[in-house]
Amino acid sequence: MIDAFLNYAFIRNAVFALILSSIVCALIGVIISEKKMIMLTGSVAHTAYGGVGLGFLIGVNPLLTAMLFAVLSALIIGYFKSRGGKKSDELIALLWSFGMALGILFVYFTKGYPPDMQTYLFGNVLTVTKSDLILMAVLTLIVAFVIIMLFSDCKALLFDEQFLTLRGVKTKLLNYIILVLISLSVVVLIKSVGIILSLALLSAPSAASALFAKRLWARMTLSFVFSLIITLSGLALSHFLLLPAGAMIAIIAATFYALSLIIAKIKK
Amino acid sequence: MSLALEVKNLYAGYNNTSIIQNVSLSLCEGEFLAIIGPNGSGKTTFLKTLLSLLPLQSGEIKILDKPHFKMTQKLGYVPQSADINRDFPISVLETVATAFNKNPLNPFSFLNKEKKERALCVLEKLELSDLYKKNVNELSGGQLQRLLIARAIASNPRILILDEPTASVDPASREHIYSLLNKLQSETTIIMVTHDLFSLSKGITKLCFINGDLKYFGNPDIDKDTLFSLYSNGEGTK
Repeated sequence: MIDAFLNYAFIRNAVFALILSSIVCALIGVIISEKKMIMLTGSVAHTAYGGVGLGFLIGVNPLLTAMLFAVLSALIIGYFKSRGGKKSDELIALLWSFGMALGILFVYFTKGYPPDMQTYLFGNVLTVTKSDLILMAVLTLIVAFVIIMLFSDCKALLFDEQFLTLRGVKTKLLNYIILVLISLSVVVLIKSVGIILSLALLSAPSAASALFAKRLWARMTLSFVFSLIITLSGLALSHFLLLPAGAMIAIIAATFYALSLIIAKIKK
Repeated sequence: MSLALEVKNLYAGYNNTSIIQNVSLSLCEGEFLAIIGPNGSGKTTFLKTLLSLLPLQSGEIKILDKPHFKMTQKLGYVPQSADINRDFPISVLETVATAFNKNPLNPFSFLNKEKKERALCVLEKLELSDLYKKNVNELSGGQLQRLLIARAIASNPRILILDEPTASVDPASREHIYSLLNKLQSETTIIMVTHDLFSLSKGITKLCFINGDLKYFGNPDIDKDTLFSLYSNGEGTK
């Protein structure tokens, strides 16, 4: 594996992509888990599929158009949620299907050979290009910077949003910022594990870290370590067994969480 | 003595339904008001309207002689413990420090030495300083209530508003909470929603019975028969 890393640029790109994915999973995964927004995140990720299709149709990097779709869908959901929308659950489901449907239509209208959409649905970290990596690095930097900058507000929001609102903090704005960060994180994960499997990586490491860490920062740090273990071991196994990397990572993520539950129970 | 709270002909509720109707009352600074009433009578709706968490449908609320929605930062709120994320990984000290977040957003506002000292000072007052490193989910019901009071007073509120602070705590903790509230009464006006009639003998200066509209507002030395009739049929002396 080390030989492959040293000799092949695509393996190096894959490793760097997984490190970046682990950073966003650690930071945003914990927030998603505490705000119980995993289905919302699923909807944002699947709406991004429409953006991927649009990218192929108009001939731009599909990750850029996926980002546009992801951010737009997150803002729409955020708007309805902030108005106390009791129908936000239905909206989440509708956007989920709508985005996927748009993606299929856009690809249908794309001229020439149909693009390989499987790469975006299930991920193929070995196809990450240098330009993908630069975009992923920029998005990861934005996510990390904003979360570190607003760490104190995020912590207070996750504990008791109502109290923070009474203190005069713009919690609506903060919620919108979090939604945009979730969208950017989803885009970082599309090439690594794909739209469908991204949920495994956004939930398993943060859920496992919750079993062992007592502070928010410790939980994020532990979640990063767990994400790294899951993604890099998934890549290594897929390399040796000649299996799809995205699927291996998702299976290891689920197994890792199950093992963590058992270890936590034994420790108690 | 100047007025801490003035409510005139208040109607409030959710969507187009008024949960509370035509409530008028006033409270002087330094007083301790207990709001009682049956389940679903509008006590929490009344509190949330005072806190500007719910819009008022009609009427007027003034806090320290100013419109209530301009005064939220002068209020310290102690929610029901069920309203907070109790499993969240946050320490007792960090919880109190969340009260120091007050700007539209607080970039790079980390828990520095000065904030730690301020938070510890408040915890000392609420007799919680020994527990400052503990996680919130390690606290008992009574300790958690005292922590939420500590967080509320950390911002030096002019009015402390509590929503059922003695619900789900044991008798010893309940006694402890009332004695702390009585100490705080010298620094702040207190408004407390409660189901606990035991509280009426604990330094309360005004009593309010709400059941949709205001059924009683006045002296807490109300006789048991009147109180029983208020609970049984919602009628009483207004």
